[in-house]
Amino acid sequence: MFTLLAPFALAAFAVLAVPIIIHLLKPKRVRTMPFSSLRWLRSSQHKMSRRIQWHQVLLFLLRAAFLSALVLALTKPIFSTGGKRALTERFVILDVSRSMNYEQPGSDTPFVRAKKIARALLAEGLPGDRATVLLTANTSTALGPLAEDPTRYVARLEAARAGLGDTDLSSALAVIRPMLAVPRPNARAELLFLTDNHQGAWSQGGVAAFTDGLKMPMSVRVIDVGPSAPRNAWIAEVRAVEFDGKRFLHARTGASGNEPQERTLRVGKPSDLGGIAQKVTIAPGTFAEVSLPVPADFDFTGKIAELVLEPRDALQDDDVFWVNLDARGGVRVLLLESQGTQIESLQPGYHLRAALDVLGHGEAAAAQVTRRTPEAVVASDFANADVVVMANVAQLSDDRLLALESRIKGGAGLMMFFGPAVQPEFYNTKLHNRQSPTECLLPRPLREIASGGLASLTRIEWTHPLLAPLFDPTFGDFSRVHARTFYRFGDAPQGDTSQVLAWFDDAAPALIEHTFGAGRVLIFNTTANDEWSDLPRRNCFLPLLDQSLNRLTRVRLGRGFRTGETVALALPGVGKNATASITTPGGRSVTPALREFGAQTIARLDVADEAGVYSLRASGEDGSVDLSFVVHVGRGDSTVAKPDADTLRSWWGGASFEITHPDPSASPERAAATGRVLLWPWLFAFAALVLLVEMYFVHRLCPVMNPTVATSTVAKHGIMAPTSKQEAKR
Amino acid sequence: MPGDDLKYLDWQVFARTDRYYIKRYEEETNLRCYILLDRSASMAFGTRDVTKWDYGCFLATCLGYLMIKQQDAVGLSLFGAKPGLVLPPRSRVSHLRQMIQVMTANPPVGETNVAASLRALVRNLKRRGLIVLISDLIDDPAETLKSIRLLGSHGHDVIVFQLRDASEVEFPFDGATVFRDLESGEELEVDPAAVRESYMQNLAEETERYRKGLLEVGIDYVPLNTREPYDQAFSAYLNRRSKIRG
Repeated sequence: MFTLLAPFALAAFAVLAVPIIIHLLKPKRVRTMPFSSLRWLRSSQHKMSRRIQWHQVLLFLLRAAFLSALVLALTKPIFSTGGKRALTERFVILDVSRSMNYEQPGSDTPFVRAKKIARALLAEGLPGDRATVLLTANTSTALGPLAEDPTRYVARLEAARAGLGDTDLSSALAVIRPMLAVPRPNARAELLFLTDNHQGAWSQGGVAAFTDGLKMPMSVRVIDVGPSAPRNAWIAEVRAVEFDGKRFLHARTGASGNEPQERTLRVGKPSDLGGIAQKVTIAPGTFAEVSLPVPADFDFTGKIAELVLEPRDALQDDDVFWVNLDARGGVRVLLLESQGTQIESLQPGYHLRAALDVLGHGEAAAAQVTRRTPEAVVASDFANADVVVMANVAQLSDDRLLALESRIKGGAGLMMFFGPAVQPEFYNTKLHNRQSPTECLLPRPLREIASGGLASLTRIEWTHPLLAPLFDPTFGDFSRVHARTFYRFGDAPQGDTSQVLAWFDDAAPALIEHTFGAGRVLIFNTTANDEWSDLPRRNCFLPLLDQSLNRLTRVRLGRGFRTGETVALALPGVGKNATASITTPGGRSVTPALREFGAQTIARLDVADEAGVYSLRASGEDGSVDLSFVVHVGRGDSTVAKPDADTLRSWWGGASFEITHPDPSASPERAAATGRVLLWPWLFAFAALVLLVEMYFVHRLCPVMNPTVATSTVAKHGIMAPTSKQEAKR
Repeated sequence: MPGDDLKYLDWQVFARTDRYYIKRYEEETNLRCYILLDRSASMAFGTRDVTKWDYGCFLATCLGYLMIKQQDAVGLSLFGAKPGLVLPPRSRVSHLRQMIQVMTANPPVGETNVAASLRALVRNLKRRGLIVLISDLIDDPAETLKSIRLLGSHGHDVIVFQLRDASEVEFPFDGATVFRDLESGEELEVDPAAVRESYMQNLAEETERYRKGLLEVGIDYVPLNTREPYDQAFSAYLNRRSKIRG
């Protein structure tokens, strides 16, 4: 059907009156030419008159056609297929992740192409349609609300740059969903993803959370601007390990593509280790592990090693990895559990210990579990722990609680499981602070225990990094977890920044994530064994625990952060009134925000947008500290292989779903083609053609080239005039 | 000599000498030439600064000058819708000036009736001579041809110079044009591009008709384009004169 983007321009049809007036009202102006005789012309007079009349009509039609085409072009008509048109809420989701900078010799990067197509998409809106643009990487940002004139976002679109973050297209869905909360009548949603469409870009949980309960019809189009056969290799992880008295830098490398890739892993820094290198062949879809031996006499203290995978490829940012050599070994877990029974399988941490044991054997860096009772734990245990797990802990003494809080503030993680031994009064008075919910370990107060029926998990935040990998409607069983008993919580106090990741029957939080100083707390509203719920017996328990440990210990493992994340670091020994400065890998100096938690000072950098080694220098009343930390690009975008289209389609359920691969040489308008044909360029061309034809006819019909009639020379000057003049000269 | 016509016998010489002499003599004026110049309104048409009338006047003057220099007597007659002013043939140089004055003082006007004018003129031409007709011959071709043939039948040698402007020959007009007949004042709206072909065909047919119709009775027919020089006209005239003298 046809639609006019600027129907008000139809008023310009009034100009059609001009040729009508010219042709009908104004007398014809035809040049009169004296001629010696009409004898030979008269014989064809009738035929000629008709011909002239026909020409005049044709000329009128040409001029009318020219003006009509011009006016129609000004109305910006669009022809769209698909029958009756519904109002469209269009979301242009532009991937600004790292993989969009995939370099291809002789052609634009996917990001440059995507921007051009996005611009063309914004220009295609029909009357009544609304559109907006979202920039998506780890997180998504909408450039503005849905607008009928989305071209106002073009300037900000032009200013957008692809960053170093991983792709999480689901994060855009979480932004879009509230915009569709109150749909307009007869409206449909159109999601246009401009992305390189690799496997890691999608989260089934995010898609399911978006489509769940969405009433309005929807179409999803993935415009794959990425290379057709991408390949990439990367360093996934490097750890400094000791084995049998020898020391190694143990690296895992990955590859994506159609064939194995041969690379060399080399230590670039420190220069003392500069000669260490090893060739590696990486098969796509697998990890190749490399152990680079380090001299026994090399001092690891305060050193950060840089490893490079050579030669660099199209995605260069993941070919380098920095590892803090001070941070060696596996994750150190301190498990606090009460010793209620000697029967091991009935002990609060039984399932937890079994799971940690499995995780420890499966990785090069094992989880080292230290088990203590709340009564036996000492301050040094907390100081040496990367993650503290409280399983059915009734209470802690003040000094132990102080040591725990200090350690968590300093960057360690805490997993809190409840149980029958828990004393809510201790938790509500010692661990919770209603006035400052961000400065305590428990952001919400505990209320009564709920028991009797089986409670199911609801309102699961599938887009959260902790839970997103667990979403699998076929084999995943996290959503099938049931609890017989759980604690009810009090309302969130004002200023609470914690996030509830799942609920029990919408009645009580089942899983809460909370930030405390530089550390992070995960509160599981159940027991660490199967006494209150079947979570520990579910398949998802092990990956959930693995995800939790990764999330809680990332800071300690080499003080590593990801680009785009918030960096929070404890500044030990600086005391009060501290000042701090951070030098980025690019040499930029930035000032972090400092916050004091009792005697602990936390430096916070909201966004680390460069990859590499950062230097932090802080000083306070008690002294100064110099430390370094590294920020890596995420490896989520390193796997550049394409996802299975049918699988993606099944994720989107009943929505219309398609993936297009525009030809790199095609124009952005063609690549953006959404079943709509922009007619006005053709109308302008047609008008120009008609104008040319009109000019031709005007040239033919108007006597512009006729010879001029002479006046008699004899009558003017006489016959002998020239002769007379010559004689006069003589 | 036996067989000589007695009427050429010079009887006075015979009386004095008793011998027979035959009289043989030449005319003092070699040729008696009549220039008939069309002064109808259609002759006033022309492009590129020269009308057919101008061209005809110049041609007549040049021919007159040439004739007088050759001791020929030249007369001038202007004709249009009806016979006009006539200058009898003279071979004096002053006669040329008189011719020029007549042509200058009588610009083209009115309609053409070549046939009637020529018939009237032929009655006034008492002695045979060379008739040079300068006209665009825009009239009924059949009647015109008949009247020109009539000149030949009276024993005159006739040369017909038909004058045409270049635009009449090529019809280079473009765009819708109202053509106004110079003689009748009638107007006609025409698309020149549409009629050019038939116009040229008509023109060619008429030219061919004149050429055939005149040549078959021994009359020279010379179509002249006003854009061309006069040499073709002089050549035709001199050729015809040499035939007469031979």
